[in-house]
Formats: sequence, C-alpha cells, structure tokens
Amino acid sequence: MSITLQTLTITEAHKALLAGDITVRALVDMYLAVIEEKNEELNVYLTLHTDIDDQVERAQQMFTNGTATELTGIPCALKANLMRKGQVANASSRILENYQATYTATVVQKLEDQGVVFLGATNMDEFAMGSSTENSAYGATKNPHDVTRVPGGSSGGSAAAVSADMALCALGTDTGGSIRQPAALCGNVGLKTTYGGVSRYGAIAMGSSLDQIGPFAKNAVDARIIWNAIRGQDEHDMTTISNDYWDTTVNKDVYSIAIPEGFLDGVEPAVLEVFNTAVLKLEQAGHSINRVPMPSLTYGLPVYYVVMPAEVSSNLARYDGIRYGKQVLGDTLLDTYVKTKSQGFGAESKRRIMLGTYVLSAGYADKFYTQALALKEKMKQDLEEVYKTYDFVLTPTTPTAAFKFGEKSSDPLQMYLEDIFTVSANIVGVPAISVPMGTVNLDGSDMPVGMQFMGRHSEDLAVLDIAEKFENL
Amino acid sequence: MDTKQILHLAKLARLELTDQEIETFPGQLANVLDFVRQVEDIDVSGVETRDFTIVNIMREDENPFETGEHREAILDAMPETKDEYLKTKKIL
Repeated sequence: MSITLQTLTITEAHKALLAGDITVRALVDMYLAVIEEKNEELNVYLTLHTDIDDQVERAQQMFTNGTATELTGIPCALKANLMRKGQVANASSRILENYQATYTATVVQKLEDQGVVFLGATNMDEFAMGSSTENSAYGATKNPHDVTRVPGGSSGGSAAAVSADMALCALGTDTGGSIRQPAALCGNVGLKTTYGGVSRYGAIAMGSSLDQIGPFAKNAVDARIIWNAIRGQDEHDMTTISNDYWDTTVNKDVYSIAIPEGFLDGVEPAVLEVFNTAVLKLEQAGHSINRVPMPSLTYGLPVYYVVMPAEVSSNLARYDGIRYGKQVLGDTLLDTYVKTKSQGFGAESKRRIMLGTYVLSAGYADKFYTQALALKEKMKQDLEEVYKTYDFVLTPTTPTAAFKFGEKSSDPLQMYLEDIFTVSANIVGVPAISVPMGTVNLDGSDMPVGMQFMGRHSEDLAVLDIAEKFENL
Repeated sequence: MDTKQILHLAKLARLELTDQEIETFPGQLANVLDFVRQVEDIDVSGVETRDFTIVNIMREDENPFETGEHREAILDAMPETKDEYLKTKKIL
C-alpha cells in the first residue's frame, strides 16, 4: 500500500499502521524527509525533539502488545510554547532561547500516553503575540501555499507543518485567534476549545482568561480525535471544568446558524464571495441561516486589547533573568531585570507589556479595565440570547487571505484587525472552529480561506460536527 | 501619548527602549488606545460583572514531592548558581 502524505488523515494512517501496511518508523521517516527537504525554506520547526527514535519504538511496541489507539504512532508538531520535558520550549523568544522544559504539559502527556510521536517545536509569534509569525525572534515561517506570504499566527509554524506535510497534526494555543487564523490561512482545520475544556498546565501563559490549547488537523474528524484525547479536568489547572459538564448530545441533522448582520463589512470582496458560496451550500443542505444583528460583537477587539495586554503585562513579568531563561547581567539586581527584559523581549512583547501597564495604572484602570470586564459580560449575555435560537454564529475566520510579509508588520493596529472575527470566542469562552471554505487567487497563487463556526459553551462536539458536515458537502 | 509618557511607562514596566522604539511606540500605542476608546462610553449600567464573583478553586496540598526530586532540573535552568543556591546581585 502506498501512502500519500498530502491526503493522509489520522484515521487512514491508523488503519495502515494497524494492518501492518506501514510501520511507525516508516511513517515518521516520511515526515522527517519532508522536514529535511522543506524546513530551511519554510522555517516551520525551531528544533526537532531529541528522542524521536525512542518515541517511535514505544509507539510500535503499543501495536505489538495490542495497546495502540487511533493516535499511536501519529507524527505531531508542538507549538514552541507547549512544554515537553527536556525539549526546547522557547515561545520563539530570545528571553527563553536556551530554555528546556522542566516538566511536561498535561495535553502533551495525554497524547504521549497514547503513543503520539512529537517531532519538534514549531515557530510562532513571540509569546503567541501576533498574526503572522513575523514577531518570532527566529525569523518568520513562510506560507506553504506561497512563500512570499505569511502563514498567519501566532501558531503559524503548527499550521504550516500540517499543510506542508511536515506533521500529520499539530497542537497550538489560541488567545484571540492564534489557532483559527493560521489554520484558515494555511488551509487546515483549527479548533479553539471551550475555556476550561483543556488543561493549560505546561503552556507558557499569555492571557490567562483567554488562552486555550487546541488541535490543527487535516479535517474535522481528526480534530475530534485529538480533542477527545486532550480534554478533561486536571488538578494542575484549576480553571478546567468537570468532565461531567460536557454536553455530548448536541448532534443534529440540521442546525440553525446566525450570521452577524453588518459585521462582515470589512471583509475583502474575494473572501466574501467564497463565504457566500459556502453559506449557500449550507442552506442547500437544509441548515437554516439567518442574518441577525449582534452589535456587541463589535466590542470584541477593543475589549481584547484591554484585557489581553493587562494579562500579558502580568504574565510576562516573571521573565526576570534570575531563575531561568536568558540573563543579561547588570550592575544591580534591578539593572539585571531591565537589561534582561529589554534585550530578551521583541518589540511586540514590549508594546503589549506597556499597553497592559498603562490600562492597569492608577487613574486608568477603571476607565479601561473595569469597563472592558463589564463589556465582556454584556457580550456574554447578548450571545447567550443568540444561542437560545441559533446553534452557531458563522463568519469568515479572517477578513483577508494570507498577506505578504511586511504588509502589516509596521502598523500594529492593522495586524490586530486580522482577529476581528476570532477574538469574541476567547472573550466569552466558547468553542469555535475554522474549516477551509475555498481559495482566493492572489497574484497567481490559490490561497486558502476559512469559515468559523462559533458554538455554545461546552458544545465543542457540535462545532466539530458542523465542520464535518460542511466538509462533506 | 508623547515620548515622556512612553519613557515613564517603560520605566514602570522595567524596560529600556531602543531609539527606534522611542520613535515609533508613541504613535503606535496611541493608535491602539484610540481604537480601544471607542467602547469607553458604551453604557454598561445594569451589567453585573460576574468576574468578581468567580470563586477560587483549591485542592488539598497532599502527597508532596519527594524533597529534592526536581532540584536538579530547576538548578539546571538557573543562569547562575553557587553550590545548590540561586545566585543574584545583592539587593541592598
């Protein structure tokens, strides 16, 4: 049996491994060969894990002794802000350049227990701040569909890995769209899980009220396999919710879907055209689709740019050059802090730390932070109303397809607008998925674009289900 | 936002800025703050923020690690150590 990586899914790879048509070694070697061939140009992996051979052997053993699962032997990429003991986890920052994880993240442990083979740490925007990987201290990742364009971000390396056949699946983190936006721009499925659904223990924190870990996969079925493996309450992450909480009875034959009226005005015409065609297909398949005014969605991005930097300024304060990571010695302790941070953090990290410092400072905290928390609550209430009638809120994942390097990097606000459709799911804590909806032609390259289904809290299975239904149309 | 304010903020955040950052940050941060300000006047009276009523979840501190189990890994990660201690500049 011959294996074609481009069309390979977890389900098919598992069948081949189980039947003995291919060994774990051979499968992993196919991916390593592609990495060898493409990584220099695409800059997807920062480092490869040093124990791949051991992992391969352990996975093959699970097939021999009958303990293999659907995920055993599946080659997976790991975003560089997720920790695997002994491996580099630098969050694409200079301040953690030689840092090796001292413990393993819960999600990674869960996948390791099933025999997943982790190939390496993927490039990202520094500390997950950005939408293009241009904020990485180790150079940007290139979009496999057109190397003059960005892969999206912040999990751009993980998204590109799956699209360039440098891994069969990947894990990323999503604070404001960092899984869904690169998934859309690279042409794969990306799931932002319900807040609290998946443990963040071992993820390098950015915005703790927003961060979630989730999968990149070739299709919704594969994404569900990974989601099922990584979810669940964890005593190491007190924000995880009880396993009893999941609503697993949400699958319907047809769904009611709301498109926010007037909210798509900024979408590029070519993207909107693909979106409208996709919407038509959903309608023809029997799903009911209505345009519904949802004014509070427009609060999403402004609220995000208060809450997120506030949390960033607090989370990144721990990098002081004393206990781990980079150290630049100064004359005094304070001088060491300042020199380490100033030389360790890139410009975007500095901007967001300062924004956070500003919105939390005396005299401004009420005006910005308290107002943002109130608006977050209002968004929750308004969306709960919408979800009484509708199963999903549907938008394009991004207003544009992949843009060129340098196109938005000089204007932070332009870059932030990339996340206009994705941030709301993080703010209110609901699950959302990006699924490929077609391509737009840009200067001769067919660039993928995605659509986003945002579902009710704890109904991750429903967003996976509608994504699968859409894929099958 | 002017240069003086940016430098003050940087000081609060324990950052030193490059000349280029001193030049570009005031405009860039002002743009973001202007963008954020579009929601400052939205009426939120009657909206109760549940965030302040969210409860802390604690667990029993039981089955502690064996003393020294993680010592080596943690010491290895430190930029500067002396014997089995973390070494820093003196504070006073």
